[in-house]
Amino acid sequence: MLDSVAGLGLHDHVCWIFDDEDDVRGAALQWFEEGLRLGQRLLYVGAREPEALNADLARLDGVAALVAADALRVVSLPTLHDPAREADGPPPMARYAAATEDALADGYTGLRVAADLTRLAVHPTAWEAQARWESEADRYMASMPLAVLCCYDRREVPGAALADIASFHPLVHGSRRIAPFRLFATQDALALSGDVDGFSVDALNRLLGMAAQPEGGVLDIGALEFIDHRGVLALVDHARADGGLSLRAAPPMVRRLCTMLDVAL
Amino acid sequence: MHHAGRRPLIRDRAHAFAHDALLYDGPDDFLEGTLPFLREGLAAGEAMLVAVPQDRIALLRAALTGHADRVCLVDMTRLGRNPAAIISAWRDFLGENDVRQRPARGIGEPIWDGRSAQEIVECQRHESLLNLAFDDGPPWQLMCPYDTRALPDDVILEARRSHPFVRERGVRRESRDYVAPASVLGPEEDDLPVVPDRAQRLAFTRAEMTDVRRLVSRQALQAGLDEERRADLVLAVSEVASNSVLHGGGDGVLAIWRDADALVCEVRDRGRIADPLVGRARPSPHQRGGHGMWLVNALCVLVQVRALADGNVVRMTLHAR
Repeated sequence: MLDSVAGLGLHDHVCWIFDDEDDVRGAALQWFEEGLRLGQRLLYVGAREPEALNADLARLDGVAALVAADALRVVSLPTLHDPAREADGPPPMARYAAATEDALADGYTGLRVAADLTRLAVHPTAWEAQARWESEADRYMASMPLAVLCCYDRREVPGAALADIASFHPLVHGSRRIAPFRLFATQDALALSGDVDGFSVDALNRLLGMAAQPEGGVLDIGALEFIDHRGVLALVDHARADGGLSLRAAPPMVRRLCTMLDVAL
Repeated sequence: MHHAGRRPLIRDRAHAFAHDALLYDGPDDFLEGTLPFLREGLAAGEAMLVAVPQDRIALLRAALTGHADRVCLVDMTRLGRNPAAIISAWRDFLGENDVRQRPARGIGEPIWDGRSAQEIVECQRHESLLNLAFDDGPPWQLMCPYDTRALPDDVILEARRSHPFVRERGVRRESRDYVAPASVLGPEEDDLPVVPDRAQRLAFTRAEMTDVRRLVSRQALQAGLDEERRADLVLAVSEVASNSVLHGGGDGVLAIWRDADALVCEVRDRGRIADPLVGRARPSPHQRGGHGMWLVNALCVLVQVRALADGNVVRMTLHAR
């Protein structure tokens, strides 16, 4: 569980769950200050009016100069959407990728985004697509210098949506209960961290199906903090199924449970 | 005297499970009681497993010169440290040896001098449950030695009550004190010794499973349990608490306290454990359900399960050592 965004790097992908505007603005400012130190171009995305978004950043040192130099861009959420699409869909990954490559071409070390994505997660028909986008974006961030602070207002986003979306971030700020496990990209694998028990195996199986699949077909489970017998049996079943990821870096507790349960990893 | 719980002797010994207590008076008497039993098995080519404390293993190994390798000798203080794990070990033994083709016999000494009072209670429960576990199964013979020199009289009396047959001074006879397990176990059992006031408590539903694990982990760290034992205890408590949420009314209460060098975790819920043999059979890898309590028994050194009038209690102990 993440307390602050201080010290994060070029590739970080954070889910910042908030219920207080000051809290999320403070996090965004700190996120951007870190980005300036790292030499990344900054991109601030929100669903509110441009004036309101600019006001959020008033406390950022030299904000006017940053905007003038194109080191900071403020963009309203709808402009990141494909205008051809009617519904609030997720911002297409291609635009983020293009913006990252632009930043590199312009001499920055990469792109650092702080985005209030609440609007994309409130509609019952849209949030599954948003969760898929998060996993897709996460896969891109694992290898490219894009870092995104994804902010979601817990007062507006349904709990089930928040759980799925948060689970696709390596780092989550907010209650640990929201996302007992995380399923995120590393350079060559999908990684599983946190707790998996009998109550989260259904969600795990579902999110394994939704996640952007790693090229190598590997699920790295080395960062698991806890897993019970139902979790281990679910992982073994997943690995054996057609199209399932193969398990890597099983921690001692997983190996021990497999021995006790007489199942092969 | 007619006893209400007396088991009718309708089954021929050769076709039934024979569960005998051997009451022996010191090492020489131990050998006099066990050696003929083992030699009988050797002569018949039977599969044999002997689970007794180390010093008795040494006695038997010396006495069985030339034949000791035909008998599997294991340290009961390891195999049976948790009394609730012993029946599973006997099942494994019977499963590994096709007892319908080749007869089998065993010697199991669950109670030795030094067992705690609570362990002894669980051993007595285990002895009674053996009758239930193997009553309808394949025929085999199990002899349970009790050291009358080292163990108190009430423990010896309980041995007479939990074994249909008793052997002493070379004579085998039906136990007049035998009580069938149904009369011992229920329908309502006595509660466990009271939870101390200093215990930390946490009420939980499925939303608090992470909190349950974190509390156990923190307390285990403070109690000095090493990493592996901490992980074992966290897993055991999590499995039991999961059962409370899934089968025990949706919620429960965890109590956790230190007892000398041990950490004790207790889970109470509103469920009803229907099977007194829960957790005493190794689950097959493919079955769904039935893994949790078996794992708990394999992970902990003492597991106490009671079906009370108003719910279940499962108490788990691990030592820092």
